Amino acid sequence: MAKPTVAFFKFSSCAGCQLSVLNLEPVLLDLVGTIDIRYFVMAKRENFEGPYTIGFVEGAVTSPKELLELKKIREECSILVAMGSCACHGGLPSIKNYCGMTQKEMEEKVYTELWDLNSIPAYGIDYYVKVDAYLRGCPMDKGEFVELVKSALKGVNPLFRNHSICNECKLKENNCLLLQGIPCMGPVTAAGCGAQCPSRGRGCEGCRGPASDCNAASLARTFADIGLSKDDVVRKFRKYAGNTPEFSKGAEAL
Amino acid sequence: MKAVSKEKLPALLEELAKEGTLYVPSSSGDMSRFVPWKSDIQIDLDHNTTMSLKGILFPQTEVLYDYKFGEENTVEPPPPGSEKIIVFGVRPCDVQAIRCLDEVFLTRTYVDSYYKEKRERLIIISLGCTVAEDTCFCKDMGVNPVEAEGADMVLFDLDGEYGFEEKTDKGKEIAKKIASQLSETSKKKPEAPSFSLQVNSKGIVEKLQKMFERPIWEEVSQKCIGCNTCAYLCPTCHCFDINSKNTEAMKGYKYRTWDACLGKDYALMAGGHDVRPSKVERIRNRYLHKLLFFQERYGMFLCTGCGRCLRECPAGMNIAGFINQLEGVTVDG
Amino acid sequence: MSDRRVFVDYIARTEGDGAIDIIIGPNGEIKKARWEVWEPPRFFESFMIGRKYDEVPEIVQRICGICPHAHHLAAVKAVERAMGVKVSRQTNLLRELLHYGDWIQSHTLHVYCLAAPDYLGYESVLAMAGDADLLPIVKQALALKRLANDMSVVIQGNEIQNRTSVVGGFTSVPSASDLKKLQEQLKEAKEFAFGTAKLAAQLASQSPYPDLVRKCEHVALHNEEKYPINEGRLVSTEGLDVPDWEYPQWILEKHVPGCNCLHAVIKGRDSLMVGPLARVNNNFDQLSADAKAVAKEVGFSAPSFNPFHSIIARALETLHAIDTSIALIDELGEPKYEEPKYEIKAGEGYAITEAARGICCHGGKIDKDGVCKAWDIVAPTSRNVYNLEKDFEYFVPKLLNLSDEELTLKCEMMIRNYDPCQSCATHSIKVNLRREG
Repeated sequence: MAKPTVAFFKFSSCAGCQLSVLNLEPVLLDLVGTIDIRYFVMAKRENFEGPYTIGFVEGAVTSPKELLELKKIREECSILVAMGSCACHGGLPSIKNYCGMTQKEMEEKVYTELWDLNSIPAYGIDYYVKVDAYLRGCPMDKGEFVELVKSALKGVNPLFRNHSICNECKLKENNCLLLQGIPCMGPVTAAGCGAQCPSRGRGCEGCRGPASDCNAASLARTFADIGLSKDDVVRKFRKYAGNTPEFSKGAEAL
Repeated sequence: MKAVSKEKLPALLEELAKEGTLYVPSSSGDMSRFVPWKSDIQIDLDHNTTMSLKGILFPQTEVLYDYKFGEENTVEPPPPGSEKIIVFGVRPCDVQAIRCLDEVFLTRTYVDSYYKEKRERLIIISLGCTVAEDTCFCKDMGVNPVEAEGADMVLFDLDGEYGFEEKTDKGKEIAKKIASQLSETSKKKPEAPSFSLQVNSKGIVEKLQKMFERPIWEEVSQKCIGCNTCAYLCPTCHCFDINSKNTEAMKGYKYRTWDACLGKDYALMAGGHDVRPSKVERIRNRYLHKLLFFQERYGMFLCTGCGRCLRECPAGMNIAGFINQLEGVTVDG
Repeated sequence: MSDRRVFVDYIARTEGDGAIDIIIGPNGEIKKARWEVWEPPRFFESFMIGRKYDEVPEIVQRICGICPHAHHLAAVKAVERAMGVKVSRQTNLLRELLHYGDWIQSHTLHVYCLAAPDYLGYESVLAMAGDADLLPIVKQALALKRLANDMSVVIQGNEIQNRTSVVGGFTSVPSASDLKKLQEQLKEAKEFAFGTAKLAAQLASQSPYPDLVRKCEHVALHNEEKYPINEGRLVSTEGLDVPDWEYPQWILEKHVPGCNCLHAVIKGRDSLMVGPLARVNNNFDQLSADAKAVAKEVGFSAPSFNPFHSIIARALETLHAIDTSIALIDELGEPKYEEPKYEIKAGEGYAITEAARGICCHGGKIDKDGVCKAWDIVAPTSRNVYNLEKDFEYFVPKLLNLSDEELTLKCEMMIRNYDPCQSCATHSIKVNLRREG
């Protein structure tokens, strides 16, 4: 069987998810042995045109140029994977969609000449094209990445449970932060990270996006009960995945 | 009745620890759980533990078997343990929970060998309650808060000393081992504590049988945020999921982990159909399982009134409140 | 004779998207030498307005996946300065250890995965791993990178984006036993770090690199007490010496006609270089004893104005980072959880940290409710853009005898000397969306 060809692409993002791939040290060389990396500009000087079996896309789409590239990438890849919060849901760049400024006002705050900026609202890639799998989180979880590649090699769907972070947090026998008055997005955020933040005394910030069928409106009311202002609640839900209808319900609940 | 003074308890525990692995309730931070006894451990007998003893019999993650493919395909379950498992200071509500789990894992044609193996080695030393917390309602769920039914030995807090009474053959055997540490007391078994939370569970089984389609489910499920805290802390919840992990290309292991019914994917079928698509159906299923279905099948509630889910729910869900709410519901015919 | 053009539309083995465009006239004169970053803007400085003070460090660390802690810690410090928050000694030690772990990770990644393939004639580290002679070195390099990532996980819970460091301290602290384990591994890693310094010096001594020297102003933090990573005054090889929070007055960005980039200059002077070489040049005496000794052994002396010596500076700093981390773990002993305590106050604050690739500047205004009113971010890469173009102008004429392919590679290497983080270049680099070639 020929090795699957793999490509890594980057849109508006921090490159942290691509770095996560390079952070697979103990299994990196084994992994590279099972696939054929044809395109990975951050790591290689020799890169090749498609088609590819699997394309991993990091970053949100924030310019028309990226959009055109995304469409080409979709055509070139049999399996298209959104890698990390920005590609999955728009990520932090999507805050700008809700910051109350017009695109022009925002541009003027940072740049002096605007004629060729061409920035558009930030969305995850599935706003524009069909996505076959999601690797959530900021950054994405390396373990899930390996699981996905292994599943692809076997030709099966990877098992990612999108129930809430609370499931992992409770199984770690952590005390609930909400009960201690610390705002935590765990109840509405998809599991898979191992409840990294709440296990370390910090409220979940929701970087993995909505858990399946989450009840954001109820959490928004719980936030209000523990003393968050309406603006605070909006900030919680309009951060990593503010574009999603689920988190929008939280932002609009009060 | 035989008894030991509270000061002499550590010596008695040391004796018990010689008989097998001894678990005692202990707190660290805001959490408490049963941990293997060591001489320097701080025992907490003032409150029930946050985590029940369920995990000892039915661990959160349990390897079912190792497998290997090759010229010969092999499957190897983990070797059974041989040590006795002695759990000290179990509250009556949690003893009742073990009785529920016994029904599930050991009766009606299904015998779970992993559970059974540990259950046979288990010796429960229960501690009767003299104080009920404001979330406790065991007596309304058919539990005797002072003298646990199903324990091998029961303990009474007699103010300055603990009274002992053995209940089963296993209990008698243990009593013999610690006989030299015990002396006779004239004190009487304590009265049942007074409960600030009153729950009216009378007649709810019949009522719930007629309540499958009701707007009340919409109402009570409103607040649930699907965190599953209730299920993981519940001493009777026993759902699990089975997965496998390949550690190498041709070998790996099959394992089970606790699962919980309030997440969307829980009832998702392989073909993509979800029989409980929204939290309304999920909460209904949870409450009916606890209060109706288990009664119908085994003649007991699957809720023991331990109050953990009331105390720990971040959204304020309250099964006791739900039961009381049923008083106002009328069902015809 | 027509113009000769060096054009690379995606510069490989750097972080983020950038391009080179150099046009050489018929007489060997440089008509154009441009490094174009067309990483699309994400408008951090705009959407940060209206966010809460405690979100600022959380958000800015996501500017860059390679040096998140540099951004995060600069922002934490700036917020703490704005609100008058004091932190404990333990917090400062943990922050330092966290950041040194980042340096080890970033420098090892750069030296072995991004830079070494150029010098050794491979297209990538993965290709290097295919060579039986080099495979053991690649494996050791990956092991050191792993260790640095493990440091990050032990201290804050994630390899990249920090989970526990917040305004006022940490939400949880690592256990003494985990730190001890790291310390043991760090001690074992020292030998490889020595080897790395020797290898780096050997690579940089190949022709024509030793001839490519250009004096320019090297800017870094400086701290008499210790090597600067999280704190120090802003100094330079041309005599700048000011408090770090005054950076907006001393490093200016000016628009140069005919060029798409804003150019970073020192007030009243010209372009500047930041990064490991600038740090070593300004702080050689503060390096660990072993780092200084190995510098002497490999024949490196500060100051060096050969940008190709950056790889040596990275290797020296890696060794220094290992030594310092070992010492920091001893100093930390058994960390105790300390609840971050402070009052929300209105104020303005600026701060600098040393990212692996140079000074990282953050600062802005917080109002009385703790809401961010303005935030300024200047990442190291944008400080270097103008200086790099000067490297092109000065070095390319010396390399005209090379084939197009060789010259292109050398130009790419001139960029990689700076280990640029093109995602980081949030502003000051004006975006150019041209597509040619």
